[in-house]
Amino acid sequence: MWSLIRFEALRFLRHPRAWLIMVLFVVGNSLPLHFSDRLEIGFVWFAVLLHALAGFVGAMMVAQARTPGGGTDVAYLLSRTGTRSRVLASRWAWFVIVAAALTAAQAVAFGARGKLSPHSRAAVRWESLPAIEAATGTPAETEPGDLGLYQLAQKKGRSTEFLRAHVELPGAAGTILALMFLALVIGFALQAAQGPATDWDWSRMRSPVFHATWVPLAAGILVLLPRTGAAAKERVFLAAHFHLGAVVLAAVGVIALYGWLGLRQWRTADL
Amino acid sequence: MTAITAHALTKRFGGRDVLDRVDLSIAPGSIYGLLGRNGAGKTTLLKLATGLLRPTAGEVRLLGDDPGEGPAAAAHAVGYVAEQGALPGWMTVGQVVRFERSFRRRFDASRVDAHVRRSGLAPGARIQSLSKGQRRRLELELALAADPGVLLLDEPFDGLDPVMRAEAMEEVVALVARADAAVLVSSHVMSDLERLADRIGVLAGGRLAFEADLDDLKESVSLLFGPADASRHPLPAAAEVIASRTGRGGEQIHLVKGLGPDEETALRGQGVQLTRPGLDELGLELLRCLSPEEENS
Repeated sequence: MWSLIRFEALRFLRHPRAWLIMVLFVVGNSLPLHFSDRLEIGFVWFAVLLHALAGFVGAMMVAQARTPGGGTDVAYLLSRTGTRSRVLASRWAWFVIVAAALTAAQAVAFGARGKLSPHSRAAVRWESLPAIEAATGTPAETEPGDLGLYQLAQKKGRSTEFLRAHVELPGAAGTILALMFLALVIGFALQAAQGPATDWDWSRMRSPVFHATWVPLAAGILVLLPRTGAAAKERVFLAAHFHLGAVVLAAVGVIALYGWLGLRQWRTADL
Repeated sequence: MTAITAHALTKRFGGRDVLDRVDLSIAPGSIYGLLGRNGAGKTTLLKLATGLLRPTAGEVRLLGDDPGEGPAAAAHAVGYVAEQGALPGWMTVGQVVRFERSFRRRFDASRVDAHVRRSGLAPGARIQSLSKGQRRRLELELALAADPGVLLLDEPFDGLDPVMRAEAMEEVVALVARADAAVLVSSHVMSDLERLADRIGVLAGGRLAFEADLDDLKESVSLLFGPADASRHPLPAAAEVIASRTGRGGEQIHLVKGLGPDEETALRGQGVQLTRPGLDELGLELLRCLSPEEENS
């Protein structure tokens, strides 16, 4: 199995376009999260969606690699090394390693800015404070400057929509990293679910699995649309943060579902 | 136990049966030559045998296992040389050798290293930088070095120079003698199969249209050119017509098995032109008779 994983690593590194795109997607869309010393919750969903796309696009570009004679790497692997299940398992293992490495790099960047500290602060909407206080059981400590601005806006009857409170949200960085990691793996899973055939063929449009692979990405884009509202996005993040176990379980369910669809595709596909 | 078995093996692409209920059985220690025109289904049959394609109906077994989903042990025992070459172009010669060694229990790395040195290949050279002949020879060497129990070769000698070709054939025969391997080899060229195969099969229109032991074919098949009206020259009862076709001038051409010297003399006396074809000519006539339209299909 290690040799197969090593093969996956070699083929991945031999395709700089694929991993450069992944790194650009992952780092580029996470930059807003890294800029400030505080976690900007408003950018989280954008980063998470782009992580899923990074996994999907990166895996797709590597999967399209062909041998000089026109065969695919998968055809070579299968003719040499064993069963389709093993080839798919090694690919999955490599996906998880890549996702872990990219997430670890993000964690290092977060750590360098002090965001992994239990006392690190996150920027949230003032309307979210009651929910945070209810979940943590302690009063949220806001910064005096933030509070002053908020009170001034209220006093003058101005909108507070764009004002943020910087409060301690222990483990928020961990939640963001977990969501990014899961999004990457889901992106990989969606690509793998399309099966080993990489050539475009209109007959693939007839496959329900082909369409099903776009459902999570489409859902992610819907969440990101402006009309979903910043408040709703933040509420979803806070719910995910305070119920991370349930989110992980749901994500594992999605990964398992698409993993199973992928295994079925791989077992029956012609190479 | 047979090494390679196909039972009612069928593969359909786009509503067309590329292989249609093919039955095949190859014993250990034998070389089976698969002859057929372009599009006859040779590559499809070999890809089904490696597990790269999944059958539409029927089944294929290598050493008793389903290729592609059988136990990994079976994969260790199967060597495959693909028609278009399978080695990833981005890998170096050294990487390919190390990679294949890690999967093959009986892989003889020294043998491949010797081939690499002898051929002047640089271990750091990328596969895509090698010539077609070098790639095919290396691929065959890798397959042979694994000491496989089953060897599947799809046009393995295509692109090899005459020396490489002769060496490669000798090594395939040596493998069969040494390891009692079963070999399924496809080719357009009868003379290649003549030097290798014990038995040949002709694929035509997706069906295994003809099978025979090569020695039997060499010794007992005659080629008859008769007038269009075949009824004027009925063949002896003992003769078996393998295949027939109508020539461009309207003459009837038959490949006939089992004619004795007396019967041949009698037919010649009736004005029938009769020859004992060489294997190249025999192969050509088999293809012409059994699959005249293959290339256009």
